[in-house]
Parts: sequence; structure tokens; C-alpha cells
Amino acid sequence: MSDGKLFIKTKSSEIKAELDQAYKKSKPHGKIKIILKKVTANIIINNNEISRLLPDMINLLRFDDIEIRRVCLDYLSLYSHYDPTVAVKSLPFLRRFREDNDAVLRALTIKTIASIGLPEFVDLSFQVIRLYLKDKNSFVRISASFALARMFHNDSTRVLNEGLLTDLNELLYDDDQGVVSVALSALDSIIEFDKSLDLKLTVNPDHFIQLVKHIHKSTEWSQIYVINSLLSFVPTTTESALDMIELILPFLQHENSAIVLNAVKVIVYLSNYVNNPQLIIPTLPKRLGSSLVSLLAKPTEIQFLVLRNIILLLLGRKELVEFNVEMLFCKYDDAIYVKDTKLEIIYLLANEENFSIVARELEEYATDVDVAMARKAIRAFGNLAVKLHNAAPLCVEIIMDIISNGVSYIVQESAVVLRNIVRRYPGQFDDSIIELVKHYKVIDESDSKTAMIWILGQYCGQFDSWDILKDISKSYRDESLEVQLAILTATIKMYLNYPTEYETTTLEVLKWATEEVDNPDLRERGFFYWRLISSENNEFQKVAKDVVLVDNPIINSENENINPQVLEELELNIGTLASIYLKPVSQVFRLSRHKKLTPSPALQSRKKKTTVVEETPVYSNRKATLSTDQIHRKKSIMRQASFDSSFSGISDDSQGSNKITGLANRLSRRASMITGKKKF
Amino acid sequence: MISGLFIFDGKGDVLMSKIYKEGIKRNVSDVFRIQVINSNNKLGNSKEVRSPILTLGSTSFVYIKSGKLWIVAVTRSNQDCSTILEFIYKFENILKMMVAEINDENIINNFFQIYQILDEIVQFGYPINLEPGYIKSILPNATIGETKLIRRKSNGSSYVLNHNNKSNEILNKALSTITWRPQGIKYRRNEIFLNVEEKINVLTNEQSEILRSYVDGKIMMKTHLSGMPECKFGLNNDDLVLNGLPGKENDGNSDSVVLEDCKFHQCVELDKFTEQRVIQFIPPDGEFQLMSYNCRSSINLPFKVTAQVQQFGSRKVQYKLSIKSLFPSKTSSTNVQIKIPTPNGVLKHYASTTHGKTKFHPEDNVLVWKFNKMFGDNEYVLTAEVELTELEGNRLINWSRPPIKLDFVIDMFSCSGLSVNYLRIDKANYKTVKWVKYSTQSGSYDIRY
Repeated sequence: MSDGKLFIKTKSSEIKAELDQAYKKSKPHGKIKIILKKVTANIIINNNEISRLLPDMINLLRFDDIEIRRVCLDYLSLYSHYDPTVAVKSLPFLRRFREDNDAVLRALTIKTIASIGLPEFVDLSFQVIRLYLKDKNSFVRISASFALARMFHNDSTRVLNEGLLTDLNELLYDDDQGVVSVALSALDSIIEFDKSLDLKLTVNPDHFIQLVKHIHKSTEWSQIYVINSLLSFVPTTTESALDMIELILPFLQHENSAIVLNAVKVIVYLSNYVNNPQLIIPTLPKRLGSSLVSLLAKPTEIQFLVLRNIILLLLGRKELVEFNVEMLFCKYDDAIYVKDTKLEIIYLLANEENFSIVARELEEYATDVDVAMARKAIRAFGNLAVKLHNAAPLCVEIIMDIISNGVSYIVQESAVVLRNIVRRYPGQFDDSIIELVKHYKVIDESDSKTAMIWILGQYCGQFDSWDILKDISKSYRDESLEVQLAILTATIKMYLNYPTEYETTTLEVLKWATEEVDNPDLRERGFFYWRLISSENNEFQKVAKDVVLVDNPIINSENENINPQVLEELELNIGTLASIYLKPVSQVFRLSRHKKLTPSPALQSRKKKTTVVEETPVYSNRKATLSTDQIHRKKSIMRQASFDSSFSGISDDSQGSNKITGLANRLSRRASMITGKKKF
Repeated sequence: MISGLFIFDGKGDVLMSKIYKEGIKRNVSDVFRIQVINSNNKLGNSKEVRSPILTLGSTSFVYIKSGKLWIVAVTRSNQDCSTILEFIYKFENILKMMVAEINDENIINNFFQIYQILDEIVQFGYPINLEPGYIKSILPNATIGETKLIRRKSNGSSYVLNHNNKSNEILNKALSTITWRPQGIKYRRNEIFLNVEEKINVLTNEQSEILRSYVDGKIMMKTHLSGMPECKFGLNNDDLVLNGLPGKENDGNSDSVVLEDCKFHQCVELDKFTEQRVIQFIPPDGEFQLMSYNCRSSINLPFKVTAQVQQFGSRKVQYKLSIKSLFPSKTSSTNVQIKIPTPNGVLKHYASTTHGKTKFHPEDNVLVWKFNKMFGDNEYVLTAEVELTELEGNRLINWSRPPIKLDFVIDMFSCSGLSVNYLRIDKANYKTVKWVKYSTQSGSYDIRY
């Protein structure tokens, strides 16, 4: 029979009347069940007015019928707090049900008692929970475990004071695997619940080994909970960590992606206690890799989660995973967020061996109909060229190829990318600039404009820079600050190279920068340049040239590392929501408990990444310069040069250096982009 | 884990809601409606969902779309997203077993059952057991898979699971060590149906070179078996290599089938597989996926397609395609379809083929070349030409050239070369009838040009 017609908003008075009607029959059960379906419908559509039915629902508990009682108990747990004085009338029933023969009813009862926060019910729950935890039926014990977790959420001190956690701990040795896994998850939720309490699950290794060995016979969900709880297993020796890894490996073969990801999490966790596990178990990287890749046959959402975790592993545990980059190429009909993530992974996987395949594939994306995708692909070219020296010529060649059509967004994106490439490899790809500049007319975005203007200033001798610059900067007043700053700096560069030609125009530009524009930064910069070029000491414009026309600090292959501590915590959270955002867990979820590695004799220290160091000198150099500059006037020229290099690092190249902030930043930006809005 | 679960229809009306834990209220559904459903409807294109997860403050929504409906899990703080997603999909599966099609009408017509099922499969936010057998043991009135039961009866075999017993007994059976199979199943005739289903994914470039090819395969099994039979299952005898697993190494024999990875149903004893390479299991009753696998090397490609697409001037595009079937000549492929994309604004089109029919679909800008049946070892050619309107011709330069797509089904053919060697039930006097079927389908078979 179809229940569709019962799925309507009903007034409690109507339901009451129908109930009265039903009571008149000699066998009211059938009729009552239909009425209860209406009640359920109103629960679903959140019609709180039915809370008035509380006395009637309690009254219905006297029917010895599990179906009727099931609905009534569910109703009780939802609406008792609307009228506590009436609700207590249900207590005699709830007490009596504990003796009932039907396990389902007993389980429902403890669940209901525990979920009502009224004092009388809380008292009852503490009176009976122990009996339920020791019930002869495992199904009841499962419900009781969760009921205890719920009670803990309601009143943690009382649970602790009455020593109830010990009773729950005892269930870890239950004969039924299902009960054990539920006890584990109940304990897990108790630990997670209150950050301030120092609760920790300590596991007995032998017990757990037995548990894992036999867990495959219980449900897939039990397997998840048991595997997850292994994060509490602290290996004291490398051998015990390895034994456990061996034990977990078969789970990578499971069809349930949650089991696979949890197994990966535990294996990565245990690898912290082994020195180079990939050398001891040579097949490990391959197995982890192919097991993750095969999850890409799952639905889109799961793919996305898996891909984000692949990024996480590539950032922190490259040595533990092995992927074939072709398997991560985008499919034409992948969801946009899957494509995005795959692109990120392709970039991370690119190396000296595979870059030509990667570049050809990126080219395919760059000509994709999806504009966002095409842009990202072009940006990936730039990053690839900067990361791998040998790949740069090929990347530039492809970029040249695709901009020849003059499609606006491609040119715009390419401008930004090429600027980075010519900065990374000065003098190598100057020809490409000429091709790019031909298309300057289609550029209108602030980012690309800044890049283009920088290029014009830097290569002012090679083409009609001035005409183009003038054309671009016609409407300087409406431009964004970055573009205005770029125009200013580019003009000064041109002036210093060709003082006679550009004297008047330079003055014009300085005038608007210092007088017409209201932005203090721009004015400041304008005055700064003005004073610099008007200083008359010794050689003409020597100082100004030394400051402005210098080699730019070379941008390095960007630093692919998230802070190791953040990575360490994220690795303990593989497969969780935080792994999607790839941000420090506490930043996204302030309620969550901080997870960290427990020290033990076997714990290996994380290897320091060398690339981190490369970025720092520029910064420290600048600091040193600023302080010493005033003292040692003599060395000022040299110092100034480096001052400029860092100064220009934040001025005309601010775009560039922003772009090159660590991948971590870009990732987190991406992640916040995904959500759109972060707060209500 | 999961604080609440909702089902919305396409407009954002709540069809189902179940709260598992304190921390959220039922009206949290409004937030989802406004943040996701409405903004998604505004976009007008349901494909453009940016991410399947939305986090606002400490509350996260993890959601999928099932047809026009949204199935949403609400959760607080940092939770195991993989478990939640697996749960949502398994729950969707339960719905599929209950109703023919997941739509608003069917959900409403079964709302009471669905609500009760939700109440039992998850406790305190943790998924407990989503096996139909378990649900039935607790909710004897649930109609999961009922349709299949009827079909079974008409097959002549009888299926006995006594519901009249006191529910406790059934419950104990459901909770026995093997959670996916109730005891006391009896069939008059023991039958096993095995389907090896493969999806082949291929990507070729302009020069018809294979850029990527791999097979996603799965072995579906339907069992009508009495008692608690322990099955042993063997593939390709000796020449099966599973990469990355210890044991037999690839000796360079090109005939061997190399599986990159395989995943098994929960009934398979994974440690036995790892140690002895034996697939051993006690199957659940009815239909399930025994394993899925992934294969990348030595694939038998069923077709070779070469495509030449040239632009003449700004208004003409010419196509030359050939398709060659590479499978054995006695095998046949059905529903072969080649979808050839054309630019926007086609004014005139012309096509001639040596075999098969062509039809132009202006609404999708696609020319379809179709064969009802194609035998192996044949080659056919198509030449076609389209002429564009002047306006669109000017935009031809921006034509993105989406790949040509190939669709087909081939029965009794496996691209990976995988074959079932044996399926044994080691039990005296246990007679079974076994059926094995192979089929290959196109997954994403893209030809760039």
C-alpha cells in the first residue's frame, strides 16, 4: 500500500480525534499504525505542533506491539522536553521494557532513555545502563554502548564519576566483533567530544592483532571502526609497526573506499615508526598507489575525496606512494572539481622523465571549451616550466602555439605565465615575449595587465614599448593599484634606459602618480622614484639605475611543502573532511581534537625538506640591508642593489612573488574557494 | 559521525529527515536549501556543482545527487568523510532495492519504511549494518528486494526464511559471525550466475596512437545457494599477475593478464588472498559484486578508429573516419555508435558510409554513425562534410574540437583477457549449476583529432 497520501501536514487535534475513533474498534492496531505513519510524516517535515500529542503517545505504549512502540519511543525521544511533567509518565513503561523478551524493544528503550535530557530520564539511564551493557543479546549491547556515549555528551562528569567507562572498556573484549567495533567507535566519539579532558585510548597490541585478524567476518562498518582505532596503537619497536602494516595491507583490497582510506591512514601513521618502510616492503608504494587509483572508478564525490588525499600524500609522503601519471589524466566528462584536483596532481607528479607526456596532455586541456579549465592548464604550464628546467623549452613552445590564435583568456593567462618563465630563465625565452606582445590589445584583466606592463618595462629596448604602454595605460585612473604601480615602475625603467626620448612623458606619469591619484602607496612610490631620478650626485642617474635596473631575484621552483606539523596532523586525518580542505585541522574545525604522533622509541623524526631554505635569503638579505644601509654609506651602492631586488620583489613584481607563494597557500585558497562562503 | 540525514527534491523540499545526534536541528535543512540547491538551480546547470562538500562554521554538508533528488548527510566538526560518502551511496543502493526509480513520488510513498530503516542502519551517527538481511531481521515488514523474491519464486526454486519466528531468533542469526548471510536458506536447485563485466576506457591522439587505455572490470555474482557454502574461485589459472602483490612475479610472458589492483566484496577472505592467492568466500544470498579490478597492460582493444578532420576555409569541415573491429570474426558487437562532434551552426551536412546509418543531431551538434550489429574483423569508412553559417564560420577558430566518442557492447569478450577458470564449492553432495557470462562495454572511449 502506498503511504504517499499520509505524507501531509496534520494538526495534532485531528490526529487526536482519529485516535479516539480507533480506540472504539475492537482491534485498533491497524488503524493506529496508519495514524502513527501520519505522526512520522509530521516529524519528517518538522511540524513541531504535534508535540501536543505527547500524552496520547505515552498512552499508546501500553499496546504490546513492537511497531506501535517503535514509533512512540522515537516520538518520545524527540518531543519529551516540550512537556517534562507529562513525559515522566512514560517512565514506568520504560522501566518495564527492560525485562521484555524482545531484544529489539530493549535496544530501543535504552536508546530512548539516553536521548532524553530531562533529569528523571538521566537518572534512569544511570540506573539501568550497566544492566544493558551486560545484556545477553549483542544487539542490545550495541545500542547500550552508543547510549553511554550519548550520556557522556549530556553529562560527562557523572559518567566519569560513576566509572562507567570501565564497563564500556570491558566490551572491547566482547565475543561479538560487532559489539567490539561499536564500543571502539563509542569510545572514539567520547574522546573526540571534549577536548579539555585528557582521555586516551590505550590498546593492548596482542588483543588488537587478534581483533584485526578476525575482523573480516563482521560488517564493513565494523572494519572501518576497528582499523581507525589502530591510530591509538603506539608501536614501541620498528618490528611491531611492520607487523601491523603487514596485517593491514590486505584491507587495501577491499571494495569499500572508507576501509581503503582508513587502511591507508593507518599504514601512513605506522610508517612514522619505521625508518624507510618503502625499502623494507618494496611493494608498498606501488600497492598504496594502485589501490588509491582504483578507487577512481567510484562515484565522483568519492573520487574527489581520494584525489585530495593523493595530493596530501604527494606533499608529505612522496616516497610512500607510486602513481602512474597517465592514470590521473582528466576524462572529458569528469566533474569540474575532479578535473581541478587532477590538474594539481599532474603538476605534482611531473618530473624529468614524464614531462613531455604531461605537457602534451596539458596542451589538450588548454584548448578545452571550459575556460576555467583552460586557464588552469596554462597556469600549470608556467609552474611546470619553473619547476623543471628541461621542460621549459617545450612549455614555452606550446604556449606560443596556443596564443597564436589570439583568444583573449589564453593570452591573458599566458602573459602571467610567461612573465614568470622569463624571470626564472633570464635571456632564454626572450623571443617568446615578442610574440606575446603582439596580442597586447586583448588584455584587460588586472593580473595579466600587470604582467604585460612589467614585461614592457623590462624589455623596453626590443619593441615599441612606449606606444604599447601608452595604449595600455590610457585609462590609468580606472586601473587597479597593482596596474598603476606597474605602469609607474615600467615608465621609470624606460626613462632610465632612454632618458632623452621619455623625459616629458615620464614627468607626466610622475605627476599623475603623485598628484592625481589618492592612494598613499602609489604617491609614496611616485615621490620615491622622483627623488631618485632627480638626485644629481656623481654620474648621471647612476644610483637610480642601480636601484631600478637590476636583475630580479630569480624565482625558484616553488616550495611544495605545507608546514610539516600541519602535514603530520593531516596525515592522521586521511579520509576526513579536513583532508579535503588541506588546511590545519583546527583552522577549519575549531571543535576538533588535535591529533599528534605519540612518541615512542621507534618514532622516526621527519626529514627536513631542503627546498624550504631557498626562499628565505631574499627576505633576510633585505632586513640586513635596511639596518646596515644607514651605517655603511660606502657600500651603499651594492647594498642598494640588493635592496632594490627585494624591494622590487614586493613592488612591480609583487604579482610574481604572490603567484609563487607556496603551493600550500594556493591549495588553501582553492579549498576556501570550493566552499564559496565560509561563515554564515 | 553523521548528525543527520536529509533527502530533498529538486526544488529543495524536504522528503526525508532523520536526526541522529544533538548539535543540529531539523531546520538546518533551510541552510542547505539556500546555500546549495537554490544557488545550483540558479546556475541552471546541475553539472556545475563546485564541490560535494560544503562547510559552514563547524557544520558540514556532504551530499550527492540521485536523479533529481539530493541525499545529504549533515555532520559536525571533522569527521571521516570517506565513511559518510560510502554510507550515502550504500543507502542510495537500499533505496534502489526498494523502489524502481528514485524520485520524489517513490520516496514519499515509502516514507514510513525509509524513516524506520534510517533509524536502524545508523545509531548515534555511526552506520551499523546496511545489509538487506539485517534490515529485514529488525524490520520484518521492510520490502527491500521484494521484487527479486517474487521472480525467484516464479523460477521454481523456493526460498525460505521464516519470518514467523520470534524476532529474537532471526536477530541472533543476523548477528551471527557472518553478517551478510542469514542461516537456514534453502533452494531446490543451487545456481550461480557469474557476470564478468568490463568497461574499456581509451584515449587516442591525432595520429591514432593510444594515449591511455585501461579496463575497469567487475565480477557480478548472483547466487541461489542453500546453507552456508564456502566457494573457491579461480581466474586464468597460472598466468594471472596482480601487480604489487608478493608471490608470482611477471615472468615477461605476454599472454598473462596483469591486474593493477583488485577490490573484493567484504565476504572474501582478504588475508587468504594475500597469502595463498585463493579467492575464498561464503557469498551473500542474491546479487552482489564479488570483485572489481583494474587492468592496464596487454589489453585487447576491440576497435581501431582513425579520424581525419580538416577545415576548409572558414565554413567547411570535412571528416574521414574508419573503424576496424579487431575482435574475432565470429563475435559480434551491438549498439555500435560513433558520435562525431561538429561545430555550432551547421547549415548543410552530407555523409556517406560503406556500412551503417548516419544521422545528424543539430541540437547536440553531433553526427551519429550507427551500426546495429558489427562482426569482428571488418573495416568500414565514413566520409562527411558540414557547412556552417557565415556567422559561426567566423568562430570556427575557437571550436574546441571535443573528442569523437565510441559506444558499443560486446558479449562474450573480455578486453583484459581475464577468464574464470573454476568456481568450486567443496562440499559433498552439493550440486550446483553455474553460468558464466562475459561482456565488454565502452567506458569513455575518446578519439582526439
